Parts: sequence; C-alpha cells; structure tokens
Amino acid sequence: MKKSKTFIACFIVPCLIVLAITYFYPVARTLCMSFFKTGSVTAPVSTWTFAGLANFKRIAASPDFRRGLWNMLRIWIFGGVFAIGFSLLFAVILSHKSIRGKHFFRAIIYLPNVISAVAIGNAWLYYVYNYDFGMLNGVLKVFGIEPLKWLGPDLKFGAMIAAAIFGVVGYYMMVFIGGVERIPEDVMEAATLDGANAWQKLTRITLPLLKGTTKTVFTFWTIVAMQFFVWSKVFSPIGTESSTIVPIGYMYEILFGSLQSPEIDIGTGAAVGVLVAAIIMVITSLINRLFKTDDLEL
Amino acid sequence: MKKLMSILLCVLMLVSVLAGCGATEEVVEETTEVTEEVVEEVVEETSEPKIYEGVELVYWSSKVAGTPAAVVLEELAAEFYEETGCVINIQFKGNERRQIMPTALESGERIDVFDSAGFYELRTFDPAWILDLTPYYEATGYAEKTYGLMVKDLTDNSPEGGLPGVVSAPGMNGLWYDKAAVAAAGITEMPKTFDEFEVMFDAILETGVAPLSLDGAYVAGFFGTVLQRHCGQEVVRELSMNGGWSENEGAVAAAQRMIDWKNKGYFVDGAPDVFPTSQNKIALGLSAMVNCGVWVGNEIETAMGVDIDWGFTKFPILDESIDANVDSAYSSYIHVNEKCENPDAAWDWMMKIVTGEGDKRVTDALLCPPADKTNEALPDFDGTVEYLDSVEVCLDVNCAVANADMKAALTDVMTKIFEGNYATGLEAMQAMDALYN
Repeated sequence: MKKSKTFIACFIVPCLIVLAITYFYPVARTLCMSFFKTGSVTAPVSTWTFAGLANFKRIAASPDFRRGLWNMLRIWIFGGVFAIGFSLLFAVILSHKSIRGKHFFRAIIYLPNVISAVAIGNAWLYYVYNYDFGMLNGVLKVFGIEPLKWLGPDLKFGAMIAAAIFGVVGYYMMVFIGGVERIPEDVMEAATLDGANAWQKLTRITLPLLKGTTKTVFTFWTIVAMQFFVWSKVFSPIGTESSTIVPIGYMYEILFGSLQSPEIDIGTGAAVGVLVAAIIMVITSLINRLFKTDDLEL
Repeated sequence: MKKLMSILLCVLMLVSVLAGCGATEEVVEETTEVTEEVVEEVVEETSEPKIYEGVELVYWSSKVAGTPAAVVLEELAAEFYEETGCVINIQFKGNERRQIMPTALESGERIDVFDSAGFYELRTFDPAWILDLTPYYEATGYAEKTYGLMVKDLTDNSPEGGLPGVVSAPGMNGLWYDKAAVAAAGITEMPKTFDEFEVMFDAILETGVAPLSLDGAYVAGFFGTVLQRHCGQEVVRELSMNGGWSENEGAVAAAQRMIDWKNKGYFVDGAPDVFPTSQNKIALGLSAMVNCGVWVGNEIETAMGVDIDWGFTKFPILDESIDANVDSAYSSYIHVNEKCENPDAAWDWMMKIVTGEGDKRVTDALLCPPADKTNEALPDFDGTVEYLDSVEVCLDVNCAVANADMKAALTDVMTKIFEGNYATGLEAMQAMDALYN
C-alpha cells in the first residue's frame, strides 16, 4: 500500500497546532516566566523584568515551600507504598478464579474513584475524623480510649493520606487486574504442577510479569503525588497549614493571593511549576531505569 | 472515494477543533441580562429618551447567582433600566471572580463595573484597570454617606492614589455572641479589656457553657488579633517578616494569655476544630461566642437550622495605649473600568446599589451592615453602623501571617498554642523564632 505523506500530515497537523497552542506555548511561556518578575499571568512580555534565578532562590528559602516538598515526598513514598500495595493485593485476590462475587467487590472498591475527591474528603472530615461525632473516635470511646484529634496538626497529614488512598486504590487495582489477567494461564498451571505455592507463584511469576504494569502504576502515582492539591485544599479549605501544604498549593497561593496573604508573585509561581515538572521528569526516568521490562521471556 | 472520505474527515476534525476552541467555558458564571422580555414588561413609551438610553454596562459581581443578594441585584438592575434606559448585564462570578478577573481585564474583555474583595485585593490591581472616581465623589458628596475609614483605605491601597471605587458590603471581625447564653451568665454589659473578659468568661463557664469557639481555619486571625492588642499591628507585621517573637514581651504575653485561656477551659472542647465544627457548637448550646466576620451568624444558622439572637462586641483590648484607634472594619469595593465608555452611567448604577433603599435591600440580603451609614442595620447588627463609623485605622487580622513564605509554618505553631503543646508563652514564641533559622 502506497503511503501518502499528504494525508498523514492532514491528520497530524491539526493535532500539532492544538498541541502547540494549548501545551507547548504555555509550557514555554511558563519556563521563561520563571526567570522574570511580572505583574500578572497574561502581562505582555515587554513588561517583564528579568530576575535571573531570584524566583528559584525565593522558593528554596521559603519554609512553606520546603515543607510542601517534604509533604510531597512523604505522600509519594508512604502514600505510594500503601496505595500501590493495597491495589496490588486487591488485584491479585480479585483475579483469583475461586473468589465469589469478585465483580461485586471490584465495583465496590472502584466506587470511590468515580466520586469527586471533594465529596469523599468532606465525608472523611465530618463522618470519620470529627472529634465529637466521628466514626474513629466513636470506636475509641467504645474501648475506653481517649478520643484523638485526627485533624490536629500532628495527625492531619496521615488523615489526609488515608482518605486519599481510599479514593485512588480502586483505579490502580483495575490497572493491576488488567496486568494480572494478561498473564497466561498455562504459566501458572505449569508452576502449580511443578509444586510452587501461592507465595512462590506471586513472587516468582506474577510480580515479575507485572513489571510493565507496575511501572505504569508507579508513573501515574508519581504524577498524582507531585500534583497533589485537591485533597490538600479539602483538608485545609481556608488558608494553608504545614501538615497539608504541597508545592502546588503553595503555587496556587502565590499566583492568586489570598485574603490572608494578598501578595501575588507570578514569576515565583512559574518557578514552582517548572521545579515540579523537573522533579516529575527525574523520577519518571528513574522509574524507567528501575523497571526494565526487556529482561523477561515467556 | 477513499481519498474523498479522508479529506472530509480532516475537514470535520478541523472544524470540531475550531468550534471547541471557540466555546465559552462555563465555570461559575451566570449571565443575567435585562432582556427584551423584561423590557416589554416594564417599559412605557415616552416621548423623551431616557438619560442612558442605548447604554449597556457589563457588571462582574462576586455574588453567586440565585442567592438572595443576586436576586436583589437583578431587581435593582431592572429598576435602573426602567429609570434610565441603561441595560445592566450582570455576570455573577461567585468566588471564582478573583482568579479569573485579572486575566479577563488583561485580555481586554469588556467589564465596565466590577467587585473586589476589599483593600487586600485592591493592592494587587493594575492601575490601568480602575477609574479614579474623585470627581464623582466631589460632585455628589458620596463620602458623607459611607464610612470614612473605608474611603481612606481606598486611597491608601489604590495603585495610584485617588478614589478608585465605592464601598459595598461592609463588615468587621469581632466577637459574635449568643445573647441568650451571655444573659444566662448574668452579663448585662459587654467588657472591654482582657481582664474584664476573663471575669465574663468565668461567669459563662459557671453556666456550663464554654465561652469561646475556635476553628482551625481562623487560628491565625484570632491569635493575630491577640498579638495586635498586645504589640500593635505594625510590630506584629515586622515580627512576622523577620522573627524576634521571643524577644518581644508583648508577643510572649499574648501567647501566655492564650495558654492560660486554654488551661482555664475558655475554649470549647475540641477547639481548634476543623471548620466549621467549633463555631457550630454555639447552636448546640456548647459555647457562647466566636471571633469571626459578619457572615458567621448566618453561616451557623444555615448549617444548624436554628435562629440565634446575635450580639456583637469588639475584641478585648489590653489597654488604650496600644493601637487605640485600630480595629477591624473592612468592606468590599465596586470599581469602574478605566475603559468604560459611560462612566456616568456606571457611577449612577453603583449609587443605586450602595446608597439609599438599594443598599438597604442588598445588604439586608447579604446579612451585613449597610454600606450607606444613613440606613438602619438589621437587628442582628445592632450597633455596627456606629462601630464602623468610629474605627479610624483598620486592623489587619492577618498581620501575624503577613510573611507569604511562612504562612503555613507560622499558623502551625499558633495552632499548637491552642492545642496545648506549649507550657509557656516563651516556649511558643521560641518555636516561632525557630522557623526563621
């Protein structure tokens, strides 16, 4: 069949134009803006003042930004361990032939993913973590334990992560299920015939063959963790708190100001965006090196 | 044939992309126009054209469509059209207004009249966006009808001086109390100083009610006000920017007082709680008062389905020598775009809604004191007009978190003060200072 470059171009060019306008141009503009001082997001380039690395120095020196980075790192590591761990566990269990009602359980576990994070977050805030009426303190009272301030400065971060994990586990579970169901049955049968137990099958067959899927899930989770914002705002709706601040939250405050702190610094906001994007790229390339999938052979 | 189908498919894709790019995003926006239907209902034909016949003004309001205040604005717009022939195209942007308006103004979108959240936001405006209304003030004597402090704040915070707006939806932060709970403690007159307040709090405690509610969201403002009373707000701002909290006797004393209040049980159980749990406890009869803005009474009543007889009193003072004329008083503003083609119409529209009967209807719907001080306030805001008229310098309740790069960190330490994490005020202020290392 003869390839027609003209038609290939006709199909690709519209997408490229849209991509250039809606993606490349804003990215390039943001990158440039991070080295300038400017009055507003849409201010003409002629009004920008070159600031060099001043914006990056400001965020490096900002205790709030540094705390946000630390929170983001903890979300990525601890949140990732539990979110991916639970989703893998559910996927392996609910892919097993002998589990009854597995479709029902899959639907139930996936359900939080279709509900808005704001709704889930508020449900956790008022029904689970509430000091006076929440479920957790209700359980503690039954056992005669003093109620805890789940939303106090010390425990709020963990409370937020737990609620966020609840909301995302279902999605990663479905991704893992897709990967598990792609593993050929004859490989498992052969392992069973060779005397492998469930743990050996999991660690020697399932997990290695899930490398590609795990890499995908890790990459998705990395992007979610780096762009963690909605949960942070739900748990700290007015103002910012150390226990819930994240880099994107800091960027939001510095870009739009707030009643507490009306200062607007567009260049610094752009610098935060550039830094977060760079972190995502670094971590993604690390994940690609860690999860090489060309060493497996079926 | 296949080539023809491919070409048609390309064209279709291009058209759909262009159509998608041209679509208007509907976020939190409802456009209200005084449409021809309204015109047909109310207009009588006269031989002489009305003063603003054929004029249309686009007004970006921060109200939410469908709320009582928004409904009143629509009614006033219809009346304004009937009186003057000017069409007011009100666009209710809600809370999103603050984020999207700068971009809209920068891009040259037509906005003739627009709200702002007050002097905090005014400071961030580009001078090219706002018309100096000084000639209108002088011609109409408008300044006499509203609060002197808010007019002064307009000038002080304007990018280029002058009078770039008019006052709307005034308010104040202070102690809003359940009159019944306070009366039950035998209190007939509200105290002034911290020591007098503590006597009142002891009396309220004896009735089995906690004197104060405190939500985590308002900790910075609450403690900021306590600091201001002990140090003066300029000193507090300086401390926020550069540290030195533990070396300031006033700051240490302020923190110690709050630790003492916590230990004496002045704060309701669970405080500081997740917003709005603590303030709602007033409706449950668990606490007597809360330090907040004018909206809190309506917020609690709406959330809890109760009707409370509210009173307002100023935040306690340490003594008259510290920031004697500084208190909480603020307002939103309404501005005219410098590019507005008919500023006279814009001014008359603003006067329609911020003075006289129009202001009374809008502010009653908003549940706040009137912007026109010659109007009578609702019973729940008894005394607020006189209070607002008496304030000379506005208290910045967020002076303690003026440092934009340390807001969360400072708020964290302040929250821990009310959580009982520190034994002494000095320890708390040393924790604040540690953030600057």
